[in-house]
Amino acid sequence: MDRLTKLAANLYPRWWRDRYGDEFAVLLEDARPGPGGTFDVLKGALTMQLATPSSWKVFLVCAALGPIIGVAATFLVTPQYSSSAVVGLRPPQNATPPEGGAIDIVDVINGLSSEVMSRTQLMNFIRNFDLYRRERNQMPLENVLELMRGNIHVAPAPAIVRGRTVPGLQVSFQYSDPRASQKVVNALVVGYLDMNVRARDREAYQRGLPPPATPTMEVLDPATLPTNPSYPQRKDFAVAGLGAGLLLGGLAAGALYFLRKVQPAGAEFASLPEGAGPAETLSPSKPARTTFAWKSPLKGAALGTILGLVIAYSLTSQYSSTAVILIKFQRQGGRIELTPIIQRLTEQALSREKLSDLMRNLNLYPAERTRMTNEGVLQLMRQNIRVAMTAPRIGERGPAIELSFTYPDRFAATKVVNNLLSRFLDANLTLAAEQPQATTLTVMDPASQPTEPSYPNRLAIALTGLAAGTLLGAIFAFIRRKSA
Amino acid sequence: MSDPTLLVLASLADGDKHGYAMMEDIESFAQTRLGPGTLYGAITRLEQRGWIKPVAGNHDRRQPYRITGAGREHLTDQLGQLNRVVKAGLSRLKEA
Repeated sequence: MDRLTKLAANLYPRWWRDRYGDEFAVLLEDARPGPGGTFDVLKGALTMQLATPSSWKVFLVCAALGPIIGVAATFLVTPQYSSSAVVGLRPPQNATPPEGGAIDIVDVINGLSSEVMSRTQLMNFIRNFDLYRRERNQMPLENVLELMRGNIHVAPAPAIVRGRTVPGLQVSFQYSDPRASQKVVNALVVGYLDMNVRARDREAYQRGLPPPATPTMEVLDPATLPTNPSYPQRKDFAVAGLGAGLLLGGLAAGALYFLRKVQPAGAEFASLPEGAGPAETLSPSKPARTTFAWKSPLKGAALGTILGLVIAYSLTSQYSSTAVILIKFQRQGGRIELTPIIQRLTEQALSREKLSDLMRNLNLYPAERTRMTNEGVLQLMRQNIRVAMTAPRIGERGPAIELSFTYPDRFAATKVVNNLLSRFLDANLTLAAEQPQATTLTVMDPASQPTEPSYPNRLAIALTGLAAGTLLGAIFAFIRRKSA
Repeated sequence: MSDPTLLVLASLADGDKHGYAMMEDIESFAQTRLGPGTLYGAITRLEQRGWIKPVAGNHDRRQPYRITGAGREHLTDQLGQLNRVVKAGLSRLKEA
């Protein structure tokens, strides 16, 4: 046996060499294979390696496949283009230090963005530039607006003008069409300039000052026409794929290592007793179950998904209507505790009498009213009303209250939220009469008309069923294998 | 016929043989010389399926193998199919 053939024979998996190595070596000595035979041995070794999964092989394959899948995924994702513009700010002419020396850029952004990126403005952009056509067919307008807000970025960006650093803000918008992206950024910049002029005029009028104290805005960099997509970044996807591949590979390799410890590869051959008993008793006529029963997890996955879908479709759809109320402070400076004010407003707006009236007028919960007490139904209704403080969104001057109601009838849900909205505003007026330092409530987003049910999330339930079924099937298969 | 597993089963049909004997036998009746890697790949698969088994006993390092009952059934089935194809092909050639 020449060295090359011996080397090729050593490439067989360990379990195979343990079982067949000795007799295979004798065969090679007897047959004395030529170059063709050596190649055949090499081919046999590689085939056997591929047919025998091992921890390191699984790990390497996963690590190699991760970046490939990551890069391949970038070709399936719609490219996004990001256009951006920079607007510089000059301090007011009559400003004196410290006022004139420092412009609070965050304050300027917050002050103007609420109007530049108001619901109406964004809807105008969507309509005028025909944005998010597919999304508008698939999701409620509120969600499309939310999506658009997420793609608009306004951030402080100091700029250098004639060798001097001036405060500025960068406006950018990410979208699948580079020209539409540029148009939106242009429109946003115009919106900022316009709102700034209005703010200056308003301030001048209020203060009676000839030159306004609001900083002047000027476009430093007009909106760019992006040529390269900002998303997806192939490098990022490849790195993420590598990370995921390494993680999955590590988990799979660990699982395989554990399984191999329980049942080593080719153990059914290696455990043959040496020369014991007659030939007929050495090898069982029907091999015992020694392989992992892959069908069990697959069956479990299928059953779990079906069960999940059955559960998901047997549940009554619930629609959630939402409105947002912006809170503005009447008193400048000082600290106002909002929580007690909101609590008081909520108590007044959601009082027993008012909810009972609402329930009667809109004929809510007819089935529940026949089988539950009035208090019970009120309790149920209160559970479906959500009043929550939300963090200020980009461009908002202050915090906001999100008001939502979940109900099987989407039209009734909208009516209830509209009704609650007016009750909140009424309650605030009463409160303002009692306490001059009270806050002002402004309706920022009126009650949305839900088109998609907020509950049940059928996809999530089906996926949970899939995951649970797979897991249970795998556990079942593992237990069966161990017991076998 | 070039399926190595079928050739190995056919070789073992008339008695136990070790690897080199199978290689020589197959060459004599099928005019095909299986490479060592191909032969032992087939032996591994056949043993996994329970169609052949190693013969225990006091022999040298050469391990003889024996066809099992299931292996014999499989070989009969496969050769029957092959026979039908051969017959059909030959009769059609005559008709043409």
